[in-house]
Amino acid sequence: MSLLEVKNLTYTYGQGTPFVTHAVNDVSFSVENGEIIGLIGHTGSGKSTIVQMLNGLIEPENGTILFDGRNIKTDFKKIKEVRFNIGLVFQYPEYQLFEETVEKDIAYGPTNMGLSSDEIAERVKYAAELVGLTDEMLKKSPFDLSGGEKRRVAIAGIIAMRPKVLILDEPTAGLDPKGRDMILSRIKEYRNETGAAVIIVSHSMEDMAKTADKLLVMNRGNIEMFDKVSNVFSNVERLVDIGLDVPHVTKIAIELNKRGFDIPKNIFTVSDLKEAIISCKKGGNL
Amino acid sequence: MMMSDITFGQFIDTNSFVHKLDPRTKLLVLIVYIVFLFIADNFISIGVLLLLLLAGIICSKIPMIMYLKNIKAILPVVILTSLLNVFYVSGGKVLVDWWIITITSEGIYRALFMALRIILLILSSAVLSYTTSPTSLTGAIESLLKPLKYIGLSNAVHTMAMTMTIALRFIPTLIEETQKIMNAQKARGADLDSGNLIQRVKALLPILIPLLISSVRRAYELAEAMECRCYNGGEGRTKFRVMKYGLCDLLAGVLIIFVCAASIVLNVYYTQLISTVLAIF
Repeated sequence: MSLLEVKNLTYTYGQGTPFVTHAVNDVSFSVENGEIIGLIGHTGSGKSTIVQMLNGLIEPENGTILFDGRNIKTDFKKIKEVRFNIGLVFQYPEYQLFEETVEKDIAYGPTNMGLSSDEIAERVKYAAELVGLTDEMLKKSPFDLSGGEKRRVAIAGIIAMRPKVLILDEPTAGLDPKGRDMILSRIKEYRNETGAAVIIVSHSMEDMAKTADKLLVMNRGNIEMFDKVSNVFSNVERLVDIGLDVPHVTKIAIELNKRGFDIPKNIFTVSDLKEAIISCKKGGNL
Repeated sequence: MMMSDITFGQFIDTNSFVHKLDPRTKLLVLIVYIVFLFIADNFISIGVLLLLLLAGIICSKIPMIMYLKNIKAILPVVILTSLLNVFYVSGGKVLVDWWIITITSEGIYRALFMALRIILLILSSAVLSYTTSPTSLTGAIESLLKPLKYIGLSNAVHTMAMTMTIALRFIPTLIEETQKIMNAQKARGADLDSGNLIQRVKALLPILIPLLISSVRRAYELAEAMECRCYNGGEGRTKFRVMKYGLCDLLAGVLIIFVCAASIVLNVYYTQLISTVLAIF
């Protein structure tokens, strides 16, 4: 049994108005424990709609979502319980901070779970450490922090609920490269420590190459591909066709391969390309 | 009422004949129409006004369902007003007389009439807001208030129009923002729909605080963006879309006001008309 099973999910916007759009069209996939799934697709391909349905924020028109074998709509007493298990970090989550101190803001989710104050304190500490917030920052007002720090506070707010599935909608949008790497490595660490499944919605092929195990490619509300990162990125032409791309290093590797160098086409990170070029040089081909 | 039911300021561009009319024509005609709506005193004259509105709705090329949504939103008001009329208006034949409740034929007549009047009021305003973009609407208000400059209020008129444009422009944005923040807090287990009054008000804080902060942030950003483009008030400012009064506007305006006036003639000569018709048969 998979941790998360999505069957025949369908959603239409603007039913009964002149603006009908099929946001999600009969989508099925499953997610296992400890997997990091990259959800990619051009703007308006239905990514955000899917993640909001997974969390019970919008109700699918058709189809079922099973978490741990239980239907999120019918097998839970309250939808809140689903949301504690399937944590969703929205796009630009720093705009949802509201408490006086960072500590209190991170505690908002666990408090809503009805945990004891000891448990809450422990979870806040754990989440803050995981995303790299210092004790000094915990006492500050969230509005005095930098953009990247605020983003980490917001992510900690969800992580403190210890969700079994952590979903992040464009967690690195608008951050500098250092902030991006920081967030992605922390998310990976959360997966390593808890064995939770992670779904990341992203536009950055580079980020996905570095972070994800599998990629779910959406196109106009349908699943275009759902496979290992290397298999997905080998379909360069199809990806370009549907308004996506492959990482820059992959393009370089493909070009080099075309010009007769002994470099494999399935290279997705800078360090892999470095290794490939070095071994190619050692082999006397360069 | 759900957030998504608010259709105010929702401009739907179908590029119809009604869309192309000068916004000033539409605004003035709407004002005249509403005045006549309140002068109309019987079903024949309000019927004429209803036909006029239907003509306008058909000309606007916007599906009827969009208009019906508006009625759905104000249905409680319509029902309440009608009920008050049913119970408080006396006269005519007594239909029900039980305990303290007396329902008369006049009461029923008044109730139906009031319901129709409110519905027409809302629908006619909807025609204007569906067919006129908020910007051209405030442009129309600014243009119509121009005479105020003769009493030294020219800058005030511009400031007011600009404030209204910005406010209207940001209503949908704020609704969307509220929805987003609500979802984000719900994802953290916020409970907005249960608990007693105090708990509910408390539960709103995690939504209101971020909303307030982002509104202030937006205001700063907008002010900066406007200054970057050298905005310095209304003095010497020209318009991108210059409003021109065309023959179409004149004809449409005159025609509509003529039909409205005809409805009033029916109002006055209603009884005479009825007796004439009866005499013919």
